[in-house]
Amino acid sequence: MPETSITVATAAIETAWDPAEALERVGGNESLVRQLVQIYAEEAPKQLEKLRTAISADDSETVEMIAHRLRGELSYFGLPNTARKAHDLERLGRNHDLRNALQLFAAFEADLLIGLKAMERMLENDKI
Amino acid sequence: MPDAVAKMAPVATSQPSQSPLHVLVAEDDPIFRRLLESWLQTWNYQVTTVENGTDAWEILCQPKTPDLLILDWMMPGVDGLELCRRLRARQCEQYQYVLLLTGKDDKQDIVSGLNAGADDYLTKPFDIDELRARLRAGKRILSLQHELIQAREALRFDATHDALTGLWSRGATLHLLANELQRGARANSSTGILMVDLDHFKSVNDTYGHLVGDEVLKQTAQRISQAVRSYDFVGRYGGEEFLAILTDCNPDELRVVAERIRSAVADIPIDARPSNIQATVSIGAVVASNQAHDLEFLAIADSALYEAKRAGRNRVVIGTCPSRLFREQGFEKGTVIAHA
Repeated sequence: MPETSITVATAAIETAWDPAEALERVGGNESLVRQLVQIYAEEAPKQLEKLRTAISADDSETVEMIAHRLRGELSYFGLPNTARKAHDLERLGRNHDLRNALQLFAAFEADLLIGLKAMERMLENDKI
Repeated sequence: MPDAVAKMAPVATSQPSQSPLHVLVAEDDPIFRRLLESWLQTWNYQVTTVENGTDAWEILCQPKTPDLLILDWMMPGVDGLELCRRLRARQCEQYQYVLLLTGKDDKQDIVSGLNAGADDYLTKPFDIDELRARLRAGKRILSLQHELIQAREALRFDATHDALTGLWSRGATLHLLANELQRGARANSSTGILMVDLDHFKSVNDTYGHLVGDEVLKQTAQRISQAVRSYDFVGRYGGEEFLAILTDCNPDELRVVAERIRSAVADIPIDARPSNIQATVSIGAVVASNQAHDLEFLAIADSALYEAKRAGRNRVVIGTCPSRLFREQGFEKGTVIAHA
């Protein structure tokens, strides 16, 4: 991988997520934010795989349900742009039209993975 | 309503204000589930969490259900909307306050949630202060409902019980008698009726005053209640007249219980301070089977009571049943079975 893209990715990770919003949402409880991020870091990749499978299987109902769930979580953690992409996928599922879903999914996945990296970094740090 | 009156004693219901409110959280998303659990525990709620609607319904079908439900709209299997519908479709004494959680912000979804029986809703991602305030609102409704149930139970008790003695009221006693005779007819068993009257009660009132008279009535009522069997009923039939209904009662038992009542009153003077009152009762008794109307049996018990009074009081007289029944019961007409 060329060095420039690594730099871009690192910069993207650093700006992808600000835990302050999540911290404020849970009432300033740092240990609770860590617990929730931990759960999310384990759960989100599984949901992502389920979503990919559902899109391939043209299962719009499951697409709607998983995208809906991911959207709620992303909004809560303070990742509005990624949440918006999840919302778009949710709408495709609700409208039973998954023609553009795979393309949208790729963009969503890329965003989400960056977000997850940012969360993992936070977990490695002593303080939020 | 054969059993309605018998169940009308005040019910001890749980006090939501004293014990922590029990909240059920049904949420398939592990993050929101953990978040809600943590917050609710911090706010001193008792929390049960489940990850799907099927498990939630199982908990809601148990005898003691949570008071307040936080249900996620979208769950695999039984969703929050369906849970609301099921909950409201059943007739349940305990009201459950339902807060529906939804990521949806469409007005129509909120309307259908409320129509399905939700009391309130909260859209995700929800705000900690908003959730807390909505829970408080739910708590207020629940405690108001609890107070209403308690007030209703107290009124129900007052309506069916005699205020002075705490015994069943006249109306409730007659209702119980009719039910018991019907039940006896179905089960082919007999019912004992004892009409118990305090002797010379008017002179107690006239001599010692009404406060002493009331005390005599109260203590006589207690002694009668203690003398009958645990499954019998005792009511205040009139001023100084009591009616005991003895379920599944044969002539021997009738005789034993009637005599027990007579001696319970007569053997020990009543401590009605400042006076000690030597009270006695006269009792008219009858064993009723399903061959006649309840009022006929009351008339028979009443005649037997009159007979007991006429014969000198402080005694039990077994009443005259229609002749065929009477022979079956093995009594002679107007038999005096006990007296002082």
